[in-house]
Order: sequence, then structure tokens, then C-alpha cells
Amino acid sequence: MSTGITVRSCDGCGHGQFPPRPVCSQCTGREFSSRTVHWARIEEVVSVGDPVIRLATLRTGDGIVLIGRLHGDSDTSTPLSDQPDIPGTAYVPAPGRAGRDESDR
Amino acid sequence: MNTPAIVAAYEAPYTRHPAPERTTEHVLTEAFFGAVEQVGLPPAEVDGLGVSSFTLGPDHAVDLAWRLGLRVRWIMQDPHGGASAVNLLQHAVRAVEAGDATTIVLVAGDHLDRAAFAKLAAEYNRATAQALAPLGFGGPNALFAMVTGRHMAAHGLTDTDYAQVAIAQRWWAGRNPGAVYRSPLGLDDYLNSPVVASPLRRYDCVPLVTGADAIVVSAAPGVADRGVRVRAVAAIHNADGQEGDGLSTGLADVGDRLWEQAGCGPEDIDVASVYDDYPVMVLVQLADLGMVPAGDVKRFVHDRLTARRWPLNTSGGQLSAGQAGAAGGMHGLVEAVRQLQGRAGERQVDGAQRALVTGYGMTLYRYGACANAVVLEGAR
Repeated sequence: MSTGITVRSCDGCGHGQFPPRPVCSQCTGREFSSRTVHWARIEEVVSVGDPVIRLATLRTGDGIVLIGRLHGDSDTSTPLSDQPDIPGTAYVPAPGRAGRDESDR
Repeated sequence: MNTPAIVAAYEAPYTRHPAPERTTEHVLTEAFFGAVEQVGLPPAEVDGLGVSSFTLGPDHAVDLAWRLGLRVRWIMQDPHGGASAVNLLQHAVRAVEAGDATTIVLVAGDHLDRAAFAKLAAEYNRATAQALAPLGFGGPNALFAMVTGRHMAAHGLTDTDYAQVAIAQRWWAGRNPGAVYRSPLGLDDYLNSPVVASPLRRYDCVPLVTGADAIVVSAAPGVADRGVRVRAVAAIHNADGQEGDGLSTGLADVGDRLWEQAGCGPEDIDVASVYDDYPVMVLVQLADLGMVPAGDVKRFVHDRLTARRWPLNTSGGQLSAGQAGAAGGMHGLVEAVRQLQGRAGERQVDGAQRALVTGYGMTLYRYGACANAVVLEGAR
């Protein structure tokens, strides 16, 4: 099940940001709103490691570029999740949750 | 204003499997004394120290000064990986010009085993620890495989083209007794090597080594006049906020200023040390600085690098000589100084008078954010 991931948009110019930083790279604004993004386009896929995992460059509809781990077969688009190992999704860790994700395994 | 020069350059031997006593402090000490003894300077005359190391902690630069018995007027520590050497040099030159110090030693190195590298890769910065390490990404190979894939598509290249970088640098490594891999590398060897992260193969990735490098920057009378001059230095860090494609670096923004300041152009460079964490980044930086004629990357790698043995990364670069952690940037600087001083032995480039050295690194989320370059001129 896709949970989506939380990204931020600058309140001043609307520019999207991930991972979150304190200042907007476009307008230097410092006020943001959070929102959930559920899908992204898959731009590149790389297989690494043993056991093999598939890492991908993902781009959301409004242009935010993410790095995620694929758990589905599609090479074109994927639902997003901030929970690891959910079949059919791309896992994009939520900053600040890394410790919990590790301990959940 | 004082006129500084690089008067010594030394590399503490690189080893893949170091003896336990070759700790980070040990190799940094070895490089420090190797450099000052090369120019015959008493260590007491060193009044500035710059350090870069991933594994020196919990010690800092001042701890190293204490342990080396140095009483210094200028001290600096730079954590910016592959860009740290040019960063340190940029600051050291200004400090000597301003009279804040007369003789500065810049030293970089690490004892890096697999465990230390894994820890470094997982905790490189907050974005890595929080947004990449939980993926099990295993380090930067996967990210630069993606950069290479984009570069391939943009320039119509294949793995055979990237192989030319590794093959050409291995040819030079065969003439460097200090390189950890020296045996000839052919195209079949490259194409038959294991894929690490497609399209990256084993020979596209730097071998981790333990070692250190050091240079001495000085305006001391009777010493500096024999040294290598810094003609120009330029840097841009965080050029695009990690929101581009990684197929250019900050050098693209400062190249014109670098050449103008140096009073020469790409065609005047006799030898180049271009930061080579991956072949793709060598090609990207060269293009950023206008050193790939007509932007034709394919022709450049086959005609210039392989066929004409254009003197790029003449130590073998990190791809063949090894990457000693934070010494990665200093390694190319030491090699360039050696070439300009005519001390490069079998791999000496005849008449080498001008050198380019670049630094690149600090992968924040998708690719490196730091970029800098220096143009050097020999005294001969």
C-alpha cells in the first residue's frame, strides 16, 4: 500500500524541496508547507549490492528529484512510500525517520 | 606582499593492506616529514598547518600540530574530501601573501579499511544518513552510476568510451612505482571486469588505500624562488543545489575567470590532474574547463587520451594509484608539482611548465557539490 512521502513547498514561490532544508534554493524563503506526494516518474535505475537492490532517480510531477529503492517492476513510474519494503512501491526514506526504519527491520 | 610557492610535494606510500601501525596519524606524520625534509626545512620553521582527513577524529588539526611538535601562527582543517586540497591551497597562498605565515604544510590522508569506509559512506552528511543510508545504497557508486548513465545518453557514449579513461591512466600508472595497480589494462580486461553498479565496472571505481600526501607552501627566502607558482585558483561550491543533472560542476561557471587569471588557456596546459573519483567526472570537469575540443567527448577519449597519451592523471590517478580517503585531492596536486619540478621519473612529461589541478567532491544527495581548480607554473 502506498503511503506517499512528505515533501515541502516554499510558501513564497512554491518551489518543491527534498530533503528538507531551512532555506528555499530559488527565492531564499524560509517558510514552507508540507504535503504528501504519491507518485513519481522513474528516470534511471541502477542495480547494486548483494542481495541486489534497485535504486532509482525519481522525479515528482512538480519536478522534485528523489533517490529511492524500487520494490515494483515498472520502469516508468512508481507509487512512493516512506515505509521500507512495501511491494509495488519505491521506498524514499523520510529524513528524521532513518533510525526508526532501521529498528523496524 | 610575500610571494608564495609550492616548494615540496611528497606522498607517503599508498598500500591496499596496511600494517596495523600505519594509522591515520602515522601516515600524516610520514607525509609531513617527507615534505619538509625534501626541501631541507627544519620543522621549527613551519609556522602554518592545514589538514584534511576523514579519520583523524576525535583529534583535530591542532592535535596534529601538538603531536608533531609544531608551534604555528596559522591553522586550518578542511573536511571537503576531494576538494579539500585546492581549498587548503587557496587559503594557504592568501595567508602567506598576507604575512600570516611564512611556511605552511598542507597534509591530507587516511587509514581507511572497509569498516571505516562503510561508516564514512553511511554518515557522510545528514542527507546521506537520513535519506540514502536507509536504502542500503552502500556508498556513492550507485549515484555516480546514475550520473554516468545520464552522461552516456547526453553524449552518445558507451562503456568502451569510459574505458579509455581507466586504460589511459593505467598506462601512466605503469610508470609510477607508487601506484597500487600498475599492470597494463586492456579493453578486454575492462569489459570483462565485474559490474559494480551498471554501467560502472570495477575499473571505474577507485581502490581504497591507506596513505597520505603533503605539500609545503612557503615564501621563505632562498626556498620560494625554486618553487611552483600558483597562477590562478577558482572555486564554486553548491553550484546548483543538487537540482541539476550532475553533468556539469561549478567549474563551468568559473572556467573563464580561471584562465584569465592564469594568463593562459586550456591549450597551454602541459599536464593535468583532474579529480577522478569516476571516469565520468574526469570528462565532465575537462568539458567544464573548455579542455574537450568542440565538446566531442568520444573523440577526446580515443584520440587524445588513449592514442596520443595526453598527460592526464600521470600518476595513474586515483583509479590506479588509489584513493587514500581525504588525500584524494592532494594526490593530484602532489603529482602535478612533481611534474613541474621534473621529479616524475619514467612518467616525466618533457618540458612540463604549466599544470592544471582540479578538486571535486562532497556528494550531498545526488552528486558532488564542491568544485575547484588551480593553474600552476613551474620555476624551470
